[in-house]
Amino acid sequence: MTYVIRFSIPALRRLLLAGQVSSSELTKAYIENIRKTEPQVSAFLTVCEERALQDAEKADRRLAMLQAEGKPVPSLLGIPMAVKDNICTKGIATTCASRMLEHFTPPYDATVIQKLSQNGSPLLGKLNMDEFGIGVSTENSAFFSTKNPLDVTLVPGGSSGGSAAAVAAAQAPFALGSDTGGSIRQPAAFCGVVGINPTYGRVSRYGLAAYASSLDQIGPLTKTVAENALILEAIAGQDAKDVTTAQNKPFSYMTELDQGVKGVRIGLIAELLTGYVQESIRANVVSVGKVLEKAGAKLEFVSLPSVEDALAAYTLLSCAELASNLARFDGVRFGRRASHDTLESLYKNSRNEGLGTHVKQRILAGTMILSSDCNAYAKALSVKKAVQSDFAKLFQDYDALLCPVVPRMPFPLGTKLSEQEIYTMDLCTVPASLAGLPALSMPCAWEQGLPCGMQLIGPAFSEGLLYRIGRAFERESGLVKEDA
Amino acid sequence: MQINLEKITALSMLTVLPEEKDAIKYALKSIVKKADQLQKAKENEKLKPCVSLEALRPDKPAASIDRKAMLANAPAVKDGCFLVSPIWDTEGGSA
Repeated sequence: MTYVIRFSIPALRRLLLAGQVSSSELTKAYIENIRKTEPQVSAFLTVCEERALQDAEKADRRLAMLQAEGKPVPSLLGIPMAVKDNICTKGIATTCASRMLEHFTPPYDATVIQKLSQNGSPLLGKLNMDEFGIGVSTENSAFFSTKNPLDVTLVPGGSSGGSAAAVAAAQAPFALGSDTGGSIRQPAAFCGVVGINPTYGRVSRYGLAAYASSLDQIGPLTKTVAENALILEAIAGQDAKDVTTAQNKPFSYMTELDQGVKGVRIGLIAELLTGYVQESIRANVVSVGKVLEKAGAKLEFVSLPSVEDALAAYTLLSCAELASNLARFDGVRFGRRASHDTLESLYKNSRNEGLGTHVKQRILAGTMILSSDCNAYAKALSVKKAVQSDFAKLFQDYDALLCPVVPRMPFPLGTKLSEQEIYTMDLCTVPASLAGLPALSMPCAWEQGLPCGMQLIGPAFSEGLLYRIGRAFERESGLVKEDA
Repeated sequence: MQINLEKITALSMLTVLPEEKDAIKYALKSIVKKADQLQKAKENEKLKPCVSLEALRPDKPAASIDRKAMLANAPAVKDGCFLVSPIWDTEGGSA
């Protein structure tokens, strides 16, 4: 039965509906593969085998009942999932890969978990990440590093490195990650999978441990574009528990998926095809343009002048919001409590013991930015608006934009990146985050067994169009075979 | 802008070990550089955001998470409340 783990989600659904495989069998097959591959990949912080099998048995009973009654079957009934460990799961540890939350068990489910559970997706477990989302390689997890399944000597990217690795290693048919400045898109590119940062407000953040609330978004990671569209459809929508969710109803991304790209106007962002980006990556992304042109799209080079300022503004805003959000970890209501003499030493000792070096550095930076000595926060907000304006101008003439995801290919574990290298890792992903725009990351080429990623950015709530372009590229390039 | 590490660590409720000081000062200097870079960026105050957020939801009472479940994660609890060290001395004077 283990062969089924390589199948696409639509193929698994067909098998489930035809009674050729049960959700219990499917879930067992994934658990077996997790057992087999975890010693090399280390993607999971928690594997909840018992819960997954209970969920799967429930899904099997529900499927039988719905079929007997001739009722519609939810899109993900019986298809298991794995979830980044900063998304709250009732009764299952949610650590954010931090010693601070090592023993934290949420008393509630995040909205995305509620939605997927209601849809009937069994939960396989929780996935490793950089502590509180801070990092680009998943080496900043307080527990262990995750490895890239394509080459276990390389990093899987971060901060949703566990999510990308789990999908690439077929440990789960899909995973949820979170993206603040590229944390879904960059690991997706390193592991050769598809990931989307949805429009800000498309998916509820209720139950997502906050890093930078004005930028954070939850999104799916999958093997193909069509699967990604299917999962986003299941988790998108307004939520009374997150007032930043948008009112407009999520439409069916699946219905427009195969409409092609004839006449679609796509801009290649010139500033993201410069010397910061490795030559081979630039060449691959330009080649994508040629493939899409062949499919009927119109391609032109365009300028997004605020790119470098965007990166500086992102750094300031994300640190400031992180410092505010992580102030809640003080050893009082939940999380680690260190030994202490006074209330002040309770706060300080708990934070010093519980938070890792990188997190502490960012908190200090954020506190400095928000202090009265520094007036940079307002300026960073102004630059954020300038980035939004630059995008708005481009979308008057173009339907979508194309650029790389990461300026470099996956690097070896333990690599000491210079400050400038770490900083520019987010160069291509941060502009869309600042503007709150949807951005799809997907493989566009393979070099010596390693993937090179491309990124498609669209106007707010244009996820359907991005999926359409992505799907057209998959077909034209022949990189993805039709539903296996 | 001067970096006052002592003030920042106090505000952050964190302690910086002597061996961490150089790395942290370096990181903070880099943030100051970015802040300086932004001072030169063009002003754009009057632009509308790309994404407009919806109005607040109606303020209706709804069921909350069970108190016992909420307290289950607390490091110390007494009589249904979070327990912390006193901020005044037990004789009644201020600490």
